[in-house]
Amino acid sequence: MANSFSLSGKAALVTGGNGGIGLGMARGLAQAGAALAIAGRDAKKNAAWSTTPAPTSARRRRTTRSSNGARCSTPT
Amino acid sequence: MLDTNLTSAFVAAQAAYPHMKRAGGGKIVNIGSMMSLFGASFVAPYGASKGGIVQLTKALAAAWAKDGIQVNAVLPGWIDTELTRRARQEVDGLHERVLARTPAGRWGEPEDLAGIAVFLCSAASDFVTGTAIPVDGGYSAQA
Repeated sequence: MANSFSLSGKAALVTGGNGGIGLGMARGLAQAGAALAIAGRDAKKNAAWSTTPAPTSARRRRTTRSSNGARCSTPT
Repeated sequence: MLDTNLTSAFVAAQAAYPHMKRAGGGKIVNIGSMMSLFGASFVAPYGASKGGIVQLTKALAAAWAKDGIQVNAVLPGWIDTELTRRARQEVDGLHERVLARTPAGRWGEPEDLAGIAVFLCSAASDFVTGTAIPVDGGYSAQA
């Protein structure tokens, strides 16, 4: 059963994921093995999220700009 | 308010749908609220948007189940975030009222939503669709 909770090999896009509840969920997905992209309306917060202190050891991400201009963080 | 909270979820789901369908399935998790369940006098537009999230979730779940796509909603209770920190400054006694009504006896942390996110995005929830799951320390279970 433990395996059925794994997100290894999956990609997750978390809109509104640069802070608050969205960030809490995004970190959970990353810890479960998902490759993560986050998008939000505040570019500064999008860029900063990977350095926001986390209670858990979420992996750091590289920030890129997607084709539609939204800031996304993707796995390095 | 409706654009940010409700229409956005519809637009994002529609954008994701062809990709998920091509991949043979996928997971969509929408974010509702305690205000998806009951009203409050000071947040009518917010409540309308979050009530709509639940019905949008059910409609998409029904429409896309045939494509192997599960659509569910999470209804966070009172979580300690920038947003609610501001609300606590503006609404007298809010902090204490929430504490008094929450059986778990505390405010939630963003990390309290991590488990439900993983569950609803994983194979463990492949037969779960169209639901709206409170993550609220029991707030909505107690009058």
